[in-house]
This record gives sequence, structure tokens and C-alpha cells, in this order.
Amino acid sequence: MRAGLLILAIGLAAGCQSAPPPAPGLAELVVHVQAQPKTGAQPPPEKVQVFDTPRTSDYDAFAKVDYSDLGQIVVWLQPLEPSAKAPSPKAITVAIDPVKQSNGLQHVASVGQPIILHNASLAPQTIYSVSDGNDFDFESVPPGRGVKYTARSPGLIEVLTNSPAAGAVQVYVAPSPWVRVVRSGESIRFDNLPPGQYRLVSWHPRLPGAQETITLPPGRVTDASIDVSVNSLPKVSGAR
Amino acid sequence: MDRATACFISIVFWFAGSVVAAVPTTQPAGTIVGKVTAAGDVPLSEMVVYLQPTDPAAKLPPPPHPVQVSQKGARFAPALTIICVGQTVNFLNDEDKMVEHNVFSNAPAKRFDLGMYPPGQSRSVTFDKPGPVFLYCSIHRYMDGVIFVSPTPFHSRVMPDGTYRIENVPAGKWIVTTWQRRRRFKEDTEPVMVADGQPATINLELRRK
Repeated sequence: MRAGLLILAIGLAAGCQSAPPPAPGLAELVVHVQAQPKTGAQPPPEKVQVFDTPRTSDYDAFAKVDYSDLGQIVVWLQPLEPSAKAPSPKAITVAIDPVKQSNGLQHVASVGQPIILHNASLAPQTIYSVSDGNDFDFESVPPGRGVKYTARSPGLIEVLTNSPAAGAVQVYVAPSPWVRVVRSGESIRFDNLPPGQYRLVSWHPRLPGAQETITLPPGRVTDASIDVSVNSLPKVSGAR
Repeated sequence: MDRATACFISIVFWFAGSVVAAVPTTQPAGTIVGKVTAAGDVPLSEMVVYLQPTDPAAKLPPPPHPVQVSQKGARFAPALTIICVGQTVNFLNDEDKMVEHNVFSNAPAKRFDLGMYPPGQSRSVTFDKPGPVFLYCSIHRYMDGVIFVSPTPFHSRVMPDGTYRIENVPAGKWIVTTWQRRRRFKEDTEPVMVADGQPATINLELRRK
């Protein structure tokens, strides 16, 4: 009990401390990410925790989109000044198992970043993609082994196997290595950034994203916010 | 404009459209048939075969009648609608209880937001670019559908056994092209020469690479 309280106190103290300033000559950015519901729409009366389940036939809260917890939002920061040197991204590993249900977009990478496609199933798999600009084909990858693909183009990669019943594993490739995938309501931090002008961009598989230009001064932490929202789409006559 | 005038104009346009559709074409035309095959047990019924013109300047008027997409039961029906460039779709909220929907799409071929509207109302969109337009409702998470906008009025949904049939194709050169709703293979294209009154057979094989 006493140990638990001590851990809690340490945790609270750590949480209350302000984040350290960025390294000398560098900048930091904290981005608050929100998914906005349709203006005027009634929110669901209760929180829905599950992202995707078999279709329900009614219209209750479970069938409604919960914008306060919407996932699969991709946010990246693209330098607008060619002198801004981006770090070389390390390889990411993506598990491929046709038996497991895909939960939508879980992985992000950047152009030029190696992606290790790891066969996490118990059988050899053909792992391939026919996505525009990122097509590849690895035949008979043994169980427990990985193959390396280096992302060539920005956009969504759908990684497939020779099991047609399995859904695709999705990887979003951003043009910049400063990229994250987040849920609505979360904040993300980009640190050790060269100061200067950047374009902050959001993307979602269904909802329109947004973008804005921001300037990051050296030695400071800058706050910004960005959303994804149906409200930015062109309205058809008569729409409200 | 009062309701009687609007009704009269609608009837005149409907009648004119019917006459145009009923006049037999004097243009030489043929039929394209074939079968789509793919490795493995994939759902071929969610595929489209359509024709692209070899002359990009060719004028191909769309069918005059709009197509309707239902939203009853918080589902788009049909889930896959095939139209051609220039054609209009009416999105009818035909729910039998008081449920509003908000149809939208962020597709490059057509970005739109129909706003929220109650049962009994409809909103119309004319599609002016070819390509898939994925439909969603901002309120209901399970509502998803797609409108495939073909560049020409000559298209066919692929049957579950892989067969397709495109009729009344004007004689000349065309490019037969596939589109998959859930893309698992590279799309296939094949040139075809259509002769008057003759069926042309074009079989298509979808491959990973």
C-alpha cells in the first residue's frame, strides 16, 4: 500500500514537471489532435470503446462514430526550408499474420524508411502490395522471418497475403520522417527539430485532413493544434 | 416557379428523355463479353469492367436519368453503384423512423458533404470526374459504400462467376479495363475492336505483378 502511494506520488511529481526545454539551437513542437464531429450533430450519449465490430442493425450509440476517441489519425511535419536536415529514419517492423483481424491503420513510415514485414504466422506467406507507388512481392516468406521493403512513395500501403479472407495490414507513408499515428484527444511531441518553417498536416482514411504553416523558433516549445473534420468539405446546395 | 409549372416542366423533360431512349440507335454497335479470373478464392462480384475511349476527345453523353442510392437501415444500397461521368445520383434518406444521415466523401474524384437531412428528403450530386467515390455517413460508423464513376456509359458489374457483358458499344477501338473495390491485384487493360453486330470476347486475368 505504502509502496503504491510512493509510486503514485513519484508519477504525479513527474507529470507535474514541465517538459525540459529543447536542446540548444533546436526547436520542439507539441501538437494537440482532434477529430471534429459534424457541426450541429448530437454526440453519442455514451462512450464507445471499440473501434470496429460486426455491423449492428440498429442506430444506438454503438453504431455511431465516437469522435472523442477516433483513431487512425496521421500527423506529420514537413520542413519548408531545404536546409532543414531530417534524421535518417530507422526501420520499423510490421507483423503480418492472416489469421489475426486487421484493426485498421496502425503503422506509419516515411519515404525512404525501411519496413520489415515479419511473417508472424505459422505458415509460409506470400507478402505483397499492389498499392500505387509502393508495389512489391515477396513469395513464400518462411514463418518467423522478415523481408525488407523501403517505402518509395507517400500514401497508403495495403500489405496483402495470399490468404484472400485476410484483411490488409495498412501502413501510411508520409513524405517526412516526423510522423505519428494518434487518436483524437491525444497530444504528440516532435523534438530536436531544426528551427524554421514547417507544414503541419493531418490525414485520416475517411475524414478530410487539414494543413497549416507554422514557424518553430530555436530554444522554445511551440504549441499547435490540428484536426480532421467533415466540416471542411464542399457543401452541396441545400446542405446544412 | 410554382409547383404546377415545375411539375409540367419535369413531365416534358421526362417525356423527352423517354423518346431519346426509345429511338433505336442507327450507329453500328456490338457487344463485349468475357470472364475475369484471379488467383485464389476472391470476391469477383465487387469488381467492375468498363471501357475507356481511345480518342480522349470523344463525346459520350451520360444516360439522362439519375440513379438512386438508399440509406435505409443505415446502409447504402446498392453498396456499389456504377455510373458514368456526367451522371447524377440522388441520395434519398428513406429511413422509416426519425434518423438523420450525413453522406460525405473525401475522394479525389468528388469531395462533397450533403449535410444532415431527415427521412423523406433527398440530395443530388453530379459526378464530373472518373474514379471511385467512397461514401460514408458522419454519424453512423458502419455506413460505407462506393460509387464507381466510369469514363464512358459502357460498363458492367462482374458476376460472382467472373463473367461480364457490355452491350450497345459503338463500333470502333476501345480499351477494356478492370476496377476492384477491394484491390488485391493489379488492374488489367486490354484493347478491343468492336464490329457492328459482332460479339467480342475479352477475358481478363488479374495478377499480383
